[in-house]
Amino acid sequence: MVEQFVQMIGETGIMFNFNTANKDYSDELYLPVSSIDQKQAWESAQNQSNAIARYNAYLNLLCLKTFLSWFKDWIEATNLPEPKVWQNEESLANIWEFVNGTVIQMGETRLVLIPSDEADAETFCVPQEWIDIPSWVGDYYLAIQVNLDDDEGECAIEVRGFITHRQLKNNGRYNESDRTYSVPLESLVPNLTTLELTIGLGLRQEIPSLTEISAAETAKVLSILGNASVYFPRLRVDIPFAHWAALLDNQKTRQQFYHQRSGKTLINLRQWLQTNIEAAKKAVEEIWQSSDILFAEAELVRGSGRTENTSTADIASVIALLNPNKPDITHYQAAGVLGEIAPGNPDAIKALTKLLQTTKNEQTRWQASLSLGKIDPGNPLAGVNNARLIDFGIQLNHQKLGLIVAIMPTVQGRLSIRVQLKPVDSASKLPPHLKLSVLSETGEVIPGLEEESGIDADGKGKTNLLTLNLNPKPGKCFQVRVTLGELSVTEYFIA
Amino acid sequence: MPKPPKRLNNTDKFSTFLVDNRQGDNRFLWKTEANLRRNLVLYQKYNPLFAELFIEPDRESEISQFWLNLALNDTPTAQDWEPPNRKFMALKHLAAYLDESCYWSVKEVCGNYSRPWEDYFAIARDSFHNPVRFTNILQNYNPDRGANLVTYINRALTNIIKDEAQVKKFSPWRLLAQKTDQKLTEALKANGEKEPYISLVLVARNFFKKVYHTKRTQNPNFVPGKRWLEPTPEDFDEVANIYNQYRLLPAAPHAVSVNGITVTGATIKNWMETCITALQNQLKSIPEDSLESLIDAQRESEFKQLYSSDPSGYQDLSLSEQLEEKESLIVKEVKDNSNQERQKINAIFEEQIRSIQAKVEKEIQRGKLRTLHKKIPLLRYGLGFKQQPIACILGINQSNIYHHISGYYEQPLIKALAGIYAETQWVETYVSQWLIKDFAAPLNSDYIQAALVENFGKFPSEYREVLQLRFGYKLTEQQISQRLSLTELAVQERIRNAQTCLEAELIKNLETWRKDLVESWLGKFYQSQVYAVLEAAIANFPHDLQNLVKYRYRLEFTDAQTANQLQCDENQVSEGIYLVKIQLQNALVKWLQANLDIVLERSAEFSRISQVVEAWLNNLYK
Repeated sequence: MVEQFVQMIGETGIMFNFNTANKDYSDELYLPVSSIDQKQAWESAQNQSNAIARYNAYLNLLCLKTFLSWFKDWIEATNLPEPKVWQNEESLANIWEFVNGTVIQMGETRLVLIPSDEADAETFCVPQEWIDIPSWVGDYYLAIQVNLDDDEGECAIEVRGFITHRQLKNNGRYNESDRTYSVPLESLVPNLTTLELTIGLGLRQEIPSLTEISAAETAKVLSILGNASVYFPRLRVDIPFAHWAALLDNQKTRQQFYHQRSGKTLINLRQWLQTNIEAAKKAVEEIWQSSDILFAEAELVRGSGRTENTSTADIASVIALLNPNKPDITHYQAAGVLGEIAPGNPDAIKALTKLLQTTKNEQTRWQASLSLGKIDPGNPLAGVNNARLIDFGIQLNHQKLGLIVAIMPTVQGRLSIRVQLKPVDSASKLPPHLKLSVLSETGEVIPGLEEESGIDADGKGKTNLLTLNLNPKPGKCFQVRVTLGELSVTEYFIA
Repeated sequence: MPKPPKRLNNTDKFSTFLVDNRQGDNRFLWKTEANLRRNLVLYQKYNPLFAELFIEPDRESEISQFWLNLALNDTPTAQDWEPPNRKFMALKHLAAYLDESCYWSVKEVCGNYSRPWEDYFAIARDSFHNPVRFTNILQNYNPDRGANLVTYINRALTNIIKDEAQVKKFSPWRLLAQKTDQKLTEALKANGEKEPYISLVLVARNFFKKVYHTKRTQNPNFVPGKRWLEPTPEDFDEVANIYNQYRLLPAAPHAVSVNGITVTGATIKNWMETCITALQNQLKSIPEDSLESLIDAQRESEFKQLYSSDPSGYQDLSLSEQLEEKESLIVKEVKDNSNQERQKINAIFEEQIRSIQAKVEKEIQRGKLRTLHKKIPLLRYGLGFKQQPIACILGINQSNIYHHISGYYEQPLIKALAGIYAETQWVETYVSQWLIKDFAAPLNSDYIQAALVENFGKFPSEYREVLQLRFGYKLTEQQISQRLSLTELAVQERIRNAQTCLEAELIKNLETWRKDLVESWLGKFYQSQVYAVLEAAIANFPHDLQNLVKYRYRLEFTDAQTANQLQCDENQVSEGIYLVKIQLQNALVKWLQANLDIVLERSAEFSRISQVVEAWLNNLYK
C-alpha cells in the first residue's frame, strides 16, 4: 500500500487533491460548555461590581472550566506537568474585575486564555497587562471564542489558535487607546500540536520591571477607581499605564480595589470595640448586630427580669463567687451572670477586670471580657460579641444560622478572635457538611482553621456549634466563610 | 404571503421544495432536489411495486405510505441497489411531499400572531428538516384514526408553530443578541440607516448584549427553551450609563466620540428596537440559500462549484489548471525536494507508521488504549471526519481523539523529520542561550534544531551575524556595538528582531511540517485503503456502468458527450451516475462495518461518505 502511495507521489502528486477538495484536516477545537459549569460560572460572576465586569468574569469562567477540563485530559497522557490555574479563586475574581484573560500554568510554561464573544472578529486582541507586566506574561496566548447561544441554543467555546509572547510583543499592533496588542486572527497557529512541540523554549520577550508607585498615588487612584460605576478602569487616560500596571500587579492593592468596587465592606474589628453598645443594639437593620439581639428569643428567658429586680446585694453575692478559691466553672458562670445583671456597676466592673488579669482559664477570660463589654462598653479589656444571620433559603429548608464573631483585646495589643456558627433556634442542630473556614486575605484556607458539621447515622446533623479561634497580628486582613455545597457566604475583616 | 403553484405530478410532489422567488415578483417556486429526483428513478427502475404506484397520478397516499414504511420501519428489506442512507432519503421524500403543508399551516397561524410569516415558516421547516423531530411527528400518525397524512401533518404543524412562536427561538431579543456586527450592519444599511448612526448603535448593541446576557439569558433561573425575557427599563438605563462613559474614552470609535451625546435608557431602547426592525426586515427576504441549506447538507452543488466543467470544451483543461492551483504546498515541497529526500521521508514515515501501529497494538494489549483507538486514523485521515463526529461515532470524548492523533501519529512523525534536516549542528552555537532555555536537558532539541536549520539559509545575514556574536562568541551588547559601529540600542533592537524572526520561522516550519508533510502523508496512507475498496467495487460493476465511469470520470466527458458516446440520452447518464455513486457508497459503508466494525448512523456521516466517493470519482480515478 505504501509502495502504491510512493508511486503516486512520484507520478503526479495528484492524490493531494483529496485534501483540498474537502476541508483540510485542521480541526477547530469546538468544546460544548456543560450547563453545570454555566450555572456555577454565573453564580461566581455575581460577585463582580458591575455588569461589564460580571460579563467578563462569566466569559472567563466558562472558558477556563471548559478548556481546562479538556486540556487536563490531553496533558495527562504526556510527560508535561499538570496544568493548574494561576491564582486562586479570589484573585481571579479581582483580576476579572479589571482585565480579560486567565492563565493556565504547567510548570514554568504559561498559557494565557483570552476569551471573546465576537463571532466575526478578524483580530486577536490581548490586553496590554498580559504582555507588559512581567509577572503576568505568558508563553502562549490562545484566542478562545465563546458562543453563548448557538443555533441550537447551546453554549460552546472554540479554540481559534495561539501565538507566542515574543511575536505579540514585537509583531503585534499596539493600540494605545484601548491598551491592547493585536494580530490578525488568521496569523495564529490553529493546531495545538505545534504548541506542545515547542513547550520548554524561551518564547517570552524580556520585559522591563515595573516602577513602584507611592502610597499617595495608590490612594488617589483608589479614590477614582474604587467606584463601581467606573466601567472601564483600565482605560482611564488620567492614570498612565505604568501606574496602572504597578497597582494591578500588587495583589493586595488589587484586592483592595476589588473589595471597594464590589461593595465588600472590610469590617474593622477594632471599631466594634469603640461602638456604643446601645447604638449597636438599635442598629437592628445592620447585618452585624449584637449577638444578644440576634439570639434574643433564647436570651429573653434567662435575661428578662434580672436587670429590673437585681439589687446591689444580689450583685455583691455574685461578685463573691469570683473569689480565687472557687473553681473555674463557678468563675465562668458568675462572670456570665454579672454581664446580665450589673450594667454600669463599678464593683462588678472592678471584679471582672481583676478576674481577667488573674484567671488562666481561656473560657473564663472570654466570658469575663464579653460581660465587661456589656456592662462597661469602651473598657480597654472589654470584648464584643456580634453576629449576623445566614440564610441559605430552600437549600437549608429556610433554617436560619447565626455566624458569631467575638473579639477580646489581649495584653500584647492583639485581638483574640472567636468565630462560631450555630442555629438560631437553639433546639435544632447544624445541618451536616456545613463548613466554617477562616481564609487569608488572598483567599486560601488557613491550615487548622476549618471545621465541618457532622452527620449522624440517620443522615441528620449532629453538631450544635462550630468554633474557630485565631489571634492575628494587628492590621491583618482575613475572611470568614460559611460554605454549604456550592453556596457560600464570606465576610471580610481587618484585625 | 404568496401562494405556491400546484405541483402536477408525483415526481414533483416527492422531489421539490418551496423557495422564495427573489426576482422581485414575490412568488413561491418549487425547486427540484436532484438527488431526490434520481432516487425516484432508481426506485421505479428496481422496485416494480413502487413503479406501479408511481405511474398513477392519484396514488400519492400509497406512495407516501411506501416511504413511511421505509423511514419508520425499515421495510422492505434493504437491497444492494438502494442508497446506504435510504431511511434519510425516504424522510426527505416525505418532507418534500409535505412541504405544501408548511404553507397551509403558516397561512392558518399567520393572521393570529404579529410575527412575519417567514418566522412561522422557519419553525415549520425546522420541524421537517431535523430528522429526529420529523420522525417523531411521523411516528405519532395513526392512519386508523381516519385522517390522511396531509391532514394530520397540517394539524400537527399548526400546533407546533403556535407553541414555538411563543418561545425563545423566535424572540426578537435573541435575534438582536445573536447576530454578528457584520450581519447587523448589513441589516441596518438595508433599512436605510447611515453612518455615524450605525456606529453608535453597534457600540450600544454590544454593551446591551453584555447586560442582557448577564442579567437575563445566562441567569440559571431562566429556563432554557422558554421565551426570552424582555429587557427592563433598568437594563436600558445601565446600558446608557456604560455607553455614556465609554464614548468619552479614547478607545471609543471616532464616530462615537465626535457624535457623542449623552444618551438615556429610552434612547438605547429606541436604538435596539431599530436594530430589531432592521433584522426582521432582513428576514422577510429569505435568501434562497438559507431555505435550501435547511433542506440538505448532502448536495452535489458543493462539488459542482468546485469541479464545474466547462460545457463547451471537449477536455476540461481549466479543471486541471484549477486542480494544480489547489494542490497544497506539499506538492510544491515534494517537487522541490530531490527524489532522494522524498524517498527518505517516505522511508522514514513508513518505518514510523509501522512502529506506531505496533505501539498502538501493544498499548491495547496492556489495556492503556482500547480497540476502538485503531479506528481513529482511518476515520480521521482516510475518510476526513473531524474530531467531533469521530467522537460521536466511537462514543468517546473529543480530547481523547485530539490526544491520540497528536501524540501517537503527528508528533512522532514530526520528530522523525529531524533525522533528515538536523545535519548542521549550529543551533547550540547560535541560539542556545535564549531560544532553547531548557537546552541542557532538551526534550525536543532534535526537531527544534532541525526546524531552525530549515530556514537558516534564508535568514538575513545581519541577523545571523548578530546572533553569532551575541550567543556564539558570547560578546556583550557593548562589544558588539563597537564591532559593528552601531549604538547599543540598535544592537539590542537587532538582536530582538532576529530572535522574533527566528522564532516565527521555527513555529511556522513546525506547523508546515505538521500540516503539509505529516498530515498529508497520513492522509494519503489511510486514503489508499479507502480507495482500494472503491477500486475493487468498480471492478465488480456491470460492463455498462464501468463504461459510464470510464467516459464520465476517466476521460472527463460531459453528460452530453458521454450520452453521445454510449448512444443513450443524458437522463440515462445522470441516473447511471447516481447508481454508481450509491453502489460505491454502499461498498464503503459495508467495508467499514465488516472490517472495522464501524457502523454509521447519522445523516452527516453518510454525507461524508458521499463526499469521499464524489471526490474520489472527480479527482482520483485516473
